[in-house]
Amino acid sequence: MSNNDNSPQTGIIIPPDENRTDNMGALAHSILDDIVYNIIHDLVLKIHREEKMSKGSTAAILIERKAAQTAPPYDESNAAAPIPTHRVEVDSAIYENGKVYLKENPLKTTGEIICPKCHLPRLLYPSDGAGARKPDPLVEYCKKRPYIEKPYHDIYGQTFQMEGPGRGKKKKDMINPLLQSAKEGTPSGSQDSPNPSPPPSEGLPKPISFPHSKCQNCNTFLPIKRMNNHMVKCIGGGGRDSSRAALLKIQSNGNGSQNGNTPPGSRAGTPAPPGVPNPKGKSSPNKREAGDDFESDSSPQKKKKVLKKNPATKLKAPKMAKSASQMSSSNLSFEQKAPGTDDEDDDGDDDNDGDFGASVPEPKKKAVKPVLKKAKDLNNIGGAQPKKKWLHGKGGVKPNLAPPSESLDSAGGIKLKIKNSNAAQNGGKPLPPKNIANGSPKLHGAATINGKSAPGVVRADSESSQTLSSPN
Amino acid sequence: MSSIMPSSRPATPATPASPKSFKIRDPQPGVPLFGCDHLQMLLANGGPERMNKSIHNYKTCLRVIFDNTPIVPQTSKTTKGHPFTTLTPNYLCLQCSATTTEQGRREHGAEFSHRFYVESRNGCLYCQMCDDFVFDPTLEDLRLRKSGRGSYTRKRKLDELFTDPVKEDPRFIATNTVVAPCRASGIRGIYNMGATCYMNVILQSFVHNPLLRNFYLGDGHQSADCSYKNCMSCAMDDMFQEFYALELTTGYSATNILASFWLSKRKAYEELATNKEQDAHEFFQFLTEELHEINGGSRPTEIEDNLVKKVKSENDAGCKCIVHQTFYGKLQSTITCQSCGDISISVESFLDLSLGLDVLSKRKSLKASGLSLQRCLDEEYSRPERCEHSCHQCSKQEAKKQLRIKSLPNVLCIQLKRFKQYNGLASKIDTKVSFPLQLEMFPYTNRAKNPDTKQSYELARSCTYDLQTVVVHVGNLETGHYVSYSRVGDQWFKFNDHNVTLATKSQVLSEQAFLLFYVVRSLA
Repeated sequence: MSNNDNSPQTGIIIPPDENRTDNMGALAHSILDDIVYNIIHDLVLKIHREEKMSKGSTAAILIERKAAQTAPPYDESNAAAPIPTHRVEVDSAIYENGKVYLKENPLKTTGEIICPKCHLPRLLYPSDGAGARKPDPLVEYCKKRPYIEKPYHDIYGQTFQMEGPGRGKKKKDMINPLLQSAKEGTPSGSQDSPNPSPPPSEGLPKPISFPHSKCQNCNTFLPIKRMNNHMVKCIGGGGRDSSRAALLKIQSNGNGSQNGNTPPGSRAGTPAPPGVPNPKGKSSPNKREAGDDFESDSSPQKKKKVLKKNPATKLKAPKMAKSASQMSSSNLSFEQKAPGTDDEDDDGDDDNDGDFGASVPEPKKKAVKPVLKKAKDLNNIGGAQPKKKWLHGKGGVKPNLAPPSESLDSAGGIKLKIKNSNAAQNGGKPLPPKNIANGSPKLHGAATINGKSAPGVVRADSESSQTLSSPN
Repeated sequence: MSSIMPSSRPATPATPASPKSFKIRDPQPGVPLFGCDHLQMLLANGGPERMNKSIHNYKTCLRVIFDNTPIVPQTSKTTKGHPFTTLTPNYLCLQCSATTTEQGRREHGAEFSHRFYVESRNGCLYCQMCDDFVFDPTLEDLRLRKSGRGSYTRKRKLDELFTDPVKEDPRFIATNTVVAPCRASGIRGIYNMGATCYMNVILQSFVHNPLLRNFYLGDGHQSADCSYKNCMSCAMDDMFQEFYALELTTGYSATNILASFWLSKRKAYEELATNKEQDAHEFFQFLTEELHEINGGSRPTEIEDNLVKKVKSENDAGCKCIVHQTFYGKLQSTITCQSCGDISISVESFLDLSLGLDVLSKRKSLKASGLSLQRCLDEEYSRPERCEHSCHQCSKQEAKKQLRIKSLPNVLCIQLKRFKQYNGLASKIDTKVSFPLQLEMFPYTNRAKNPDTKQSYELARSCTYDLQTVVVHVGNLETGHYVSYSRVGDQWFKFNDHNVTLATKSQVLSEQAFLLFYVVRSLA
């Protein structure tokens, strides 16, 4: 800009044309030329201003620093005496008694830019991505750095764990070798993305995985992506489900159970279980991560439950178990996680069941929904006392029509079955789509849903629901 | 653009001996006292009189540039005395009343030894000895105030409303605040908590809203003093702290906002708090109402002695809460009876301007060329439309209705209604509506009817808005995703939940906008 006058006047280049004699055409060209000139002028002036002002203040900071080093010691005994003029001069500026004067154009005299806040040099080029230059490793730079522009990285050069394919998002949309490979290392969260990925190469930045966060209402930690779903259980009250939730609350008051969370008290009341077969290890190491809001209770409590609950579960377990076994052949395929045994006991619990039921509608599986409804109706008809509760559960979907006797007798065996099936899932086999042999199809649908609430399955469910409903 | 002799500027009444004396800005650490050594000679070495005169002249030049039609500063005189108007920048001499072109500037300098010129498009100061633009702290301050606010003295409305003189004392600030780390730029993503992208885009628009930012960072709502449980305003306070005071660059987990959202039992928005996808605009309405009630009115459930008990929410116009100060404007509708000319005027306040694309895109006048935001506003707020109205006087049914904006908000939210109901089926309108980075709202105000040239330049400038945030909805009606773009300084960023990337202006402008947030320029 400073050399405007010297540089030849260049304008837009007009292609040679035989119609050049046209006056209006020439005028239009000249106006366009001026407008383009103005746009560039204003842009350059803006950047120029920014640069020059920061260089000017850099010069000021540098000389102030120098002045501070060379400042004459302040003589207290001689305070009355006139303070000698403190003057420092460098190429770019003059310091005189606290005032800084520029000497020359700071654009010429000052090379670097120093942050006015922390007085460290600014990094002028991004360290990665487009236009990157290697920063000098020996220099400590100001932390305000140029933003990075690089595919699959954010402005700070961070990468994030990819989400699994969900609605509106196809696998092919998310092909990213870096992230894919990185993802393989991390066990949880995105198991539904099935592509086998190349082994992670060395030196790649680790993607940032999704954090866990504390629910403000119940103080449990959950994966951030579950938080909204968890709110349904934890706070509820929103949407159409609120009345149901309220009803549930009223009804379950006798049990001392609350909407969503079973207080430890109710569990303590249940007699201790005789030896519960526990084929699995206590819980899979990644349980926490996998754990969704449905199992929001802290794990120590859970363990307790396991021990105490079995008799109670026995009553209800049958249905669960049954459904779970049926479930095994159902759309479990998304989840291959080790089910914590404790979770099973949770299932036994009425209230938790309600929870799970609520979770069920989440997955926007069209196939499942109608079934659920019907199941509900059935439930209405057959409703035994405890079942009613489920009816009112937020999801409203705990159809458990299996006649009690049936469920009773099969309880133990079926439980084992579940576990087995779970184990099978652990093995990572995707299970074939189910169709159940006995009972009316509707019932089975319902049952399977119930089954879903069996621990491993629940996770699967929530996992899938998560991805499905995630609007990304 | 031949070489040109200086001409005397019209419309520069030399107010003789203005009693006002100007002052050089106090020295500040890290800032040179003058823009360059030559300017230092002009301002400091010639005694207070020359300094006063120079600053006064600079102000006069700025007035010429900003307060009048641009023709005046763009016109100089040729050697023969003919006026010569150019589109490219002219230079106004600081030391006399001449206006020169770029070429004429050099000759003027050689002839009169005048070395300082004011550039006619932006009002920047040019030093001929440096052969460069110089940015002097004292003069830049004047220029920014003039170009932004249109006045040297008028304070921003907000300054008076939200500042406490005690708290403005630098010593008070120094002892009670910590300097934010350089890394904390306010640019962070927000994690998706399960279909909460509708929430994230609105929160991002709040984070980058200068008024709300200053309100919360300036202790507008102190969560420490707030006794209300699960207060949304406290949650917002926390969020602003997280964004602007921490060095973290990873996403933010807005769990407390989510919890407050779920726990706030507002009747009208009960349906909103679900784990399903929701409308971002509805959430915006919810959030503003909630914050209004907390910060301005009284809480519905809480009977506590709020010292800042303001006008109750019945009368929105009188509310001084941050939300009203930020988003609310007033619309005036004038209904003129076609037979007897009787006029009835009604005024209502608005939170946002909604443009129904379903209706607008069908209008013939808009069909031909592409839809632009200005055209839509034209249709809604500057053209009268026919309406049914039973007149008090003659009880005729035919009337003309004219909607105008009576007062503009500081942050203008424009919603492009992309949802259409047809036979009970809702669908999304994917029409592209172009929108500008800089929006002139003056033509849609009720003062635009009888343009008074004297004031209108200043008025129009105070009605200039800059695009701040764009909320975009991708996907269809049932399911989709929200992303938002926000501007920090001149750089645009794309916020896709936790992922923040750089965006170009062209990328922003080519998006299919759903919500647009414009911030009035005189604020920034």
